[in-house]
Amino acid sequence: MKLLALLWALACGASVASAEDLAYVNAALRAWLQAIEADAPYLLVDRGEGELRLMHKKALLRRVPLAADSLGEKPPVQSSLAARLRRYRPSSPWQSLVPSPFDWEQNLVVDASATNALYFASGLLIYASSAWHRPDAMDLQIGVADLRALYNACGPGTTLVVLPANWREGPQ
Amino acid sequence: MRASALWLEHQQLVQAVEHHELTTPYIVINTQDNLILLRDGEQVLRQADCATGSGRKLEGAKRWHRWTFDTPKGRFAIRRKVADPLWIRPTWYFIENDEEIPIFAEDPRRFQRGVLGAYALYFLKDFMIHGTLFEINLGKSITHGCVRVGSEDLEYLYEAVEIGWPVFIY
Repeated sequence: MKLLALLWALACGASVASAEDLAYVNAALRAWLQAIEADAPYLLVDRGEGELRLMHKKALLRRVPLAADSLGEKPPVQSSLAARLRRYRPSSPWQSLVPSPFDWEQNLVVDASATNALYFASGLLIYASSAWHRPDAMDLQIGVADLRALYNACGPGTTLVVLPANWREGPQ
Repeated sequence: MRASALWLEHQQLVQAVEHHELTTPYIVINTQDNLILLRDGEQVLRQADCATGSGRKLEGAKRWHRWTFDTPKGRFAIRRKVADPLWIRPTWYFIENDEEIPIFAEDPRRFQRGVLGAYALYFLKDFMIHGTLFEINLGKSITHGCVRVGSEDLEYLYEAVEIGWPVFIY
């Protein structure tokens, strides 16, 4: 009897987990559809392929391999670019990363350098230099040339969609 | 929501995403690395060096004589294809070369044939993909906003690309 109860509990637990995973995949697909229909460039993180893509509708503009993915199990499926950060500020690394109005450097240069980063409203950070890496933070590391290209191509408000690995088949 | 309803929604969403696939090949112009690609879905049909806008600013004597030589970004489409295109020199050409600006649009000093290469593919009224006399400058951000490509790639694009195909520039 105890064994049956245990099996029942395990089965229920598995189906709840599966439903949650499926709901998460569906939310990611809805976010992707919204980005496609918005007719503006957007970023798509395909965690199954281990790459970040710059896309416009379903057109693939740039394929960016991920050097490191620290997004965790279920990061927010949708976010928007909050700031293009020009420099890492080691004096207050754990406070807000968004530049202040007195960040003069922010307003001087348009093109990106290797040490810049893209900061999203969900807290997600995309960078090339590992100086930006924070423990337990959601971040993606990419190559320098790719960072420069994305920094210049993505203005504030650019949508980012995170696709889970099993988006086509659903959770196994 | 019940699991079956979630699965149904999942199938519908996957189909909806796949339904948005582009129906024709498309051109991607990467102004960061000065590359032009003709893609069909995710497949690259052709990749070549190109030259794009320098981002340089120019000012003339008049208040409205101000230009920034950027290649426009976003989604466009091939509007028309022209063989042996005629270059209509814009006003900035005369300012840049310190020459007298012709008053009339019909002035013969405004027209020159041969400098745009053998073909031009317009994606905006005043912006096109065309050839160049100086292929050594391909791969650089050097133009006044148009996209220059080498003669072989230009011929390929002219033959392969059809009017209405999308052009994505970033």
